[in-house]
Amino acid sequence: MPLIAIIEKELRMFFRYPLRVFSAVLVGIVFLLQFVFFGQAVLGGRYSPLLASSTGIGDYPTYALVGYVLWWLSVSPMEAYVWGIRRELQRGTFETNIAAPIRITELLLGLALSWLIMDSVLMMIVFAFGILIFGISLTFSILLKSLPILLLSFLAFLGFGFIFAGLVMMLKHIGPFAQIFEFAMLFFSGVFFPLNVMPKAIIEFSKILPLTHSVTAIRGIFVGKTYAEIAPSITWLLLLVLVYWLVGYILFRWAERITRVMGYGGY
Amino acid sequence: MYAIEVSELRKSYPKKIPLPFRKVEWIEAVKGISFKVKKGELFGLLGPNGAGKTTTIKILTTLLEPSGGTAKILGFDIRKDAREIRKRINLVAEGERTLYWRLSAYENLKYFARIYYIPKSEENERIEGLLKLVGLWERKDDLVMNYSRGMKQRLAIAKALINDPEVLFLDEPTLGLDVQSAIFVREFIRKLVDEQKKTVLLTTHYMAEAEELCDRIAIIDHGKIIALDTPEGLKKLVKGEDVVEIRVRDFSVQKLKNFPWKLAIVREDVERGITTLRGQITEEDLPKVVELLVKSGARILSVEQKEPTLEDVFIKLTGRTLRD
Amino acid sequence: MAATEELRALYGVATKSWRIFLSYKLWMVSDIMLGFFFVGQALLIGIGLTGQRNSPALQQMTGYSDYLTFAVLGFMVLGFGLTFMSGFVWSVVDELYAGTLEYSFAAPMRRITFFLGNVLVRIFLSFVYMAVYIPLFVLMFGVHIDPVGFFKGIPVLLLGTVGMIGLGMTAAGVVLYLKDPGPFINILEMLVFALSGAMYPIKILPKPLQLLAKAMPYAPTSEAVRKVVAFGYLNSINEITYLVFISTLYALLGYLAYKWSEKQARIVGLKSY
Repeated sequence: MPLIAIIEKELRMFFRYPLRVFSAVLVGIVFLLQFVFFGQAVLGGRYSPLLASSTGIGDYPTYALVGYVLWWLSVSPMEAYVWGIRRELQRGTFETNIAAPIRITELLLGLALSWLIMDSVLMMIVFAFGILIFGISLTFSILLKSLPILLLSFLAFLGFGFIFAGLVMMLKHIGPFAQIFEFAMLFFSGVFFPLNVMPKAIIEFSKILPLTHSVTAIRGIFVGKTYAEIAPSITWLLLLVLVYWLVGYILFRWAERITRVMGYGGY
Repeated sequence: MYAIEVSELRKSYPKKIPLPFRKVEWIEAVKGISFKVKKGELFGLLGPNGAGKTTTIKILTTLLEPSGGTAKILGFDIRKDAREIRKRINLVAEGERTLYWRLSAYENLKYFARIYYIPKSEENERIEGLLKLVGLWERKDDLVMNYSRGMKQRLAIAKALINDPEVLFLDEPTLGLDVQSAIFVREFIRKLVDEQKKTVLLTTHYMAEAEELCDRIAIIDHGKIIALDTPEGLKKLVKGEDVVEIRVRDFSVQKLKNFPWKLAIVREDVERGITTLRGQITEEDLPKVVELLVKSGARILSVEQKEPTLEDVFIKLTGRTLRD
Repeated sequence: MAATEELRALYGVATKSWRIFLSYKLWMVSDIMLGFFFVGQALLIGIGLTGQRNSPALQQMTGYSDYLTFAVLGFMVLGFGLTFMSGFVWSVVDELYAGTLEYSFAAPMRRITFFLGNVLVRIFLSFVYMAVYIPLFVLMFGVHIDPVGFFKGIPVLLLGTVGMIGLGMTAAGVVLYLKDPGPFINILEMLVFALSGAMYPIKILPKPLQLLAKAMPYAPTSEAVRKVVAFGYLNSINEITYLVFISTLYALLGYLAYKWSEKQARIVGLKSY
């Protein structure tokens, strides 16, 4: 299976350098602590009645941890394309891959899946760390119930990220642009604060981002809601999976046509 | 059936990304070339940098869309049957960064075996065979980043053989290699054709390499094929006329504007002010050439007859050397 | 004569790093966005959790009830900290990768001139960023900054900068001889982030981390700057004294690391990539 080969190759290169893995985990943890500690310092504790009334979750560390982990995973496929493809272009290996009989879409999907796996491993560590350090109570059934939503979210994130695949191939270097966009997602989807503090227009806009619904659904499960109660978020996610895979694919085909005229290399 | 059939192939590059409604300038890199390569032939594209060699290879390996003309590889159309072609060919791209430096040789080949759809049952045996063939078996577990330039190129060739391709494309396979590695690569390529009956198309700007290695050579310049024949056939273009090398002091190109013969500068010793010119000049013309040179202020140091080489063919056709 | 020659070299190094910096226009935009990201995030978290612009809890712990001003001052120190940690160290490592570092070191210029030239440009840049940030923060987020108090904070910030440069020099000197400097720098960056006290008072950290934070120049700078801005120099003698101590220590360490690195370069040579 070529897809497995790609994943194996990426994981091998990533886990070959333990210091790199360690530094990635550290980045993940520190970034989270910044905002949670700030929130706690301002609150003078961890429970916010205001947050509870606007989102249903009053415990700030739980609220932030779930949002943060999902945010990180949601931008993972996008990062795979923006940085992964760029790295292959710089290394000169991109053309060597394209020249193989494997489909280019399969190649890209393999790349995104590998990054999603690596980021999932990182986020599992960060999540476990967060649970421990903040003393969040967690049951096995919550984790189990979250799993299907998580998988559905992954599908949506992959489709969402695919929009960037074509852009990168065509424009080659969109790193800074992508970074701004990633940070913007933190604001649009209510990762560290409740969305209702944002202007109406942004709240509406945030609905087209898969992260918004994924976060709402899983936070719901964390406070004991049933699937029926979070049905609107699930419906949105299903819809967005379809839309983003379709739009991403069409955009990619168009970008690929142009890239075949320009050349894949060009570094 | 031919292994490669190219007909009126053209390629222009846009200067900017050709988005809809955007006016873009195009630069023509390949200007309508045609040639056919028989199965089991070692065919060379010889030309200076920027002649369109790499572009041609990228089009034939289905990495680039041509702007016009057609090409068939093993009877498959490069536009319609890209995947069928990719299964049956392989390439060594130019430069040393074409493999994963952070993987070992073995891991690299394993990866490429899979994305070339090599059956699992054959995988290990084939990788072992290839690594032994290129002499890297002993160091199969070292990361590629620790390899020398020559070893990297041998691994790139092993990768290019992973799917037992019928047609092999090699873009400047000896560029930047040390003398020993270059010899190894050349002998290896020749053996692939002679013993395994593979078809090879390679590009080079080394005259001697093309002459020594290729069954037939197409000389390409400014995106056009200006001559195509066997090395002997090409050299016949300059046979009968004499190749002359003239060493002069105080040579000035400006003062030779309307010089009617094609002479190229093959060496320039700036320190001593000596220039060596080379070209085909008949016995009758020689005194006139010398006279014009003297009139231009140059001092003749020596005039020598030489055996014609491919370089002379190129000079005759373009008035330049390949290095220009 | 020798001094003017060295100054010309310094000028050369500075203009070079300035030009290289300017060539990354898009990164500049994304750098500046980082400030808005931090401060904006702080404001929205505060409002989302408390519904107010003041926090009694923070007031009790630090003397600042306006959490946004607290975060802005912290971010300024963090900005300086990152400039001399990641910005400076990365620029040296990038030159090492590109192979130009060896050329610079092979020149007759003193090696310290090379580092100083890079550092000066970064100090200048940090002030340019601040000049962009402060008015925009005031306009967009309604940050309350008392100009007199704010200008009192600048000398303290510069005092802390001495220590930050020392630590940056130490890191740069060591990192040059590592096999894979990338993750090592990342880890240091994260220590700066977590222990600079930019977003929260370090008092809420576990004890060992508090000590570590105290032992690096960033958190002492944040604390001294905040104290001076709010309460003036006289009330901040303790913080300032400690900052003088830590800055001197790191300046010394930086100098020693530089000397060591200088010697090391002659013995093992710089790696070529």
